[in-house]
Amino acid sequence: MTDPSPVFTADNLRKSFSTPRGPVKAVDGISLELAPSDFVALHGPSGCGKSTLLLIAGALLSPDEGTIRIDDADPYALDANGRAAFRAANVGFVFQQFHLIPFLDVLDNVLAPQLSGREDRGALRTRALELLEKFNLSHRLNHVPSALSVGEQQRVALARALLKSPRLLLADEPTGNLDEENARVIMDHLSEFAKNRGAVLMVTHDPAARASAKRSLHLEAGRITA
Amino acid sequence: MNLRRLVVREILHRKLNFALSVLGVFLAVLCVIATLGILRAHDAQTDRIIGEMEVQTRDEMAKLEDEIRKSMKGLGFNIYIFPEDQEMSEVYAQGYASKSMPEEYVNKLASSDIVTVNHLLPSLTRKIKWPEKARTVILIGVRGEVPLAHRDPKAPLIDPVEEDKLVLGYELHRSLDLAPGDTVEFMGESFTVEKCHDERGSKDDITIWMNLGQCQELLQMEGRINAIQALECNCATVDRLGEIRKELLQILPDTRIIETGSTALARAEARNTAQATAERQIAGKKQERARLRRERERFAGLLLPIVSVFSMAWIGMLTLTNVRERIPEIGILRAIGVKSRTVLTAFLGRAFVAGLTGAALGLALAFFAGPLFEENFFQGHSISSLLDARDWWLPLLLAPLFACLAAWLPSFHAAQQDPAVVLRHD
Repeated sequence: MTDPSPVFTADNLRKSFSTPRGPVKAVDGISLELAPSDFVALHGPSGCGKSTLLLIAGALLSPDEGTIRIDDADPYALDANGRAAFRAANVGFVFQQFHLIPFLDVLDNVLAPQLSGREDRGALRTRALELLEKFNLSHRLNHVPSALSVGEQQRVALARALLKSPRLLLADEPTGNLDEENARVIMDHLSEFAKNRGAVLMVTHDPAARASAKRSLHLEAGRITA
Repeated sequence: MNLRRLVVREILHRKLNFALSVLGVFLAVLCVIATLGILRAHDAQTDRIIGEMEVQTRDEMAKLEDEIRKSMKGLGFNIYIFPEDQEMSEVYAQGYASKSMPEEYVNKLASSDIVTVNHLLPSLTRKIKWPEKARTVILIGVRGEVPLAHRDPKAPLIDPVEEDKLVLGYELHRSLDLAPGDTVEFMGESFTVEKCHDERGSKDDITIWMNLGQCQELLQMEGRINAIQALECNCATVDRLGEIRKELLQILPDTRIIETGSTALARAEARNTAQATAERQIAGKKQERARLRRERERFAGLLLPIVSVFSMAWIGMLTLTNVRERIPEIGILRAIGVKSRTVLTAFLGRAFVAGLTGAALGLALAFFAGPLFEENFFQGHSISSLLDARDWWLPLLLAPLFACLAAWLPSFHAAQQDPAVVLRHD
C-alpha cells in the first residue's frame, strides 16, 4: 500500500546566482518528488547545483521560480521566523563538515534544536538519549566534539538531525570525511530512517553511498539528466 | 539545552574574548568610580575647609564683639540721653550735664519696646569738693543696668554699687592710701570702699561711684538723673544715630540724644572690616575651590565619555570578532530552526554578562582597594563614605546595558546571517 501524499515535491525549480561573469543557473527547471521511505542520491560534477537544490529543499534558499512542498506545505509562503519553525519541525540536516557546536558536549549538541522552540524538554531529552544509545554514543555524552572521532561526530550530527523526528532528511556529502566503516554505519542509519517512512535526499560523490540509496539522480548544469 | 546554557558554555569556551570584554567594562567602571570619588572628595574637602574658616571667623568675631562690648562701656560707643535744655558745650567742657531729668525716664524706656539699644544705664554726675579730704572729685551715682522689660535677661554691663559703699578711681585710692574694706567719710556719711580701679588715664581716675539713691540724697536731687547711657546699637543702617533718635525721641520727646566715643566706633568699624575681610577670604576660598571643582568636572566630563566610548568600541569590536568566529555555528543554528531573535539574544546575553561581571569586579576592587588610595586620591576620605548606595548600584545597572548597546550592531549582524549563504560557502 502506497502513501498517497509525498513527503517532498519540487516543481520546476530555478535558481540563478550573479557572478562577475554574468548570472549562473545553479538550478534550472528541476522537478522532483520524494515519497515516504524514499531515499534519493544526487550526484554530478562540482558546481552542477546539487547543494543549491538541497538548500532550496531545506527551506533555506528561496528559488527564483518554482515551488516546493514538504508534507504538503509550502515553506516559502511563510515569513523568516515561520520558515525557521517549519524547518525545525519537518527537516533534518546532515553536513559533510558535521557543523557541531564546538563548546557544547555531545548531549547538548544533539539537544541544540531545543533552542528553536518550547517543546517538551523532558521528551526531547529522552529521545536524544535513545538516539545516542542507538548510535553507540552513550559513553560520550559529556565529551565535546573535538574529543570525538570523525565517525562519532557525524553520528552526533545525525542524532541532532533526527531529534525532532523530521519527515525529510537532507544530507550533503554525509560520508565525505568518513572512512569506509564509519561511512557504512551512517548509510545504514539513513537507510533505516527512510525505511521508517521518512524521505532522504542526499548529495554524494561516493559510489558506495549512492548504492545505499533507492534512487540515484545525476545533475548536470542545474538539470537532472539521468 | 537552553539559551542560558549556550551562553555560559560559549563564555567558558572563549575565555579570552570574554575576559577582554570584562576588562573593558571593569576599567570603565573603575574610572567612573574613581572620578566620582575624586569629585566627592573635593566637595567634602571644600566643606571642611570652608566650615573651619567659618568657625574660626565666628570665634574671632565673637572675641571682637566681646572686646567691643566691653570697650563700649568704658570708652563709650554710647548714646547719651540728656535733658532737652542741656547745653552740649557745657557737657563737653566739664564732662557731664548740669541739667537733670526725672529718673522715671529710664523706667519709661525700659518698659517700652525699643529695639535699637540693648542696655540702659542711668546716672547722676556732679563735680564736687570732697569736704573731708579737701579735693575735687567727680561723683557718679549709678543704679546699675536697668533691664529692658521685653528682652531676655542679659549679663549686666555694670553692677550697681551697694548702699554705703564706694568705688574709687585710681588717683583717689592711691593718693589717699585707701583699699577695699577701708572705711571713709564722704559728705558726712560713712562708706566702705568696695572696689579700687586700676589706672585708666582718664577722669575715671578721680571719680567716686556710689549708689544712685544715696547720691541723689547727698546732692539733694531725689528722683533726678542727668544722663542715661544707652549702649550697643542694633541699627541696620549706617545712620545709627538717626535711627536711635527717631525711636527714642518718640518715647522721651523732651530729651536730646548724642553719640560719643569715636574710638570704640573705630574699633567697631574695624570689627566690621575684619568680618568683611574674613567673609571675602571665605568667598575667595569658595571661588577658588569652585574653580578647581569646575576644572575637575571639565576633566571628568572629557574623560568619562572618552572612556565610555572606548569601552563600548572595545566591546563592540570583541563582539564582532566573536560573531565572525561563530559564523558556522550561527549558520547551523539557523538551519535547524533557531530564530534570528534567539541568536540576537545569545550575543546580547553574552555582552550583558560581560557588562555585569566587569561592573561587579570594578566596584569590588574600588570598595576593597579604595583604602589604599584614600590619601593620594580621595584626600583622606574613605571611598565608602564618599559614595552613596546609588553610586554603587547604578554602574551595576548601566554597565550591562551599555555593553548590550555596544554589542548591538555585531549581534544584529549575527542574527541576520543567512544560513544558506553560510552553508553554501562552507
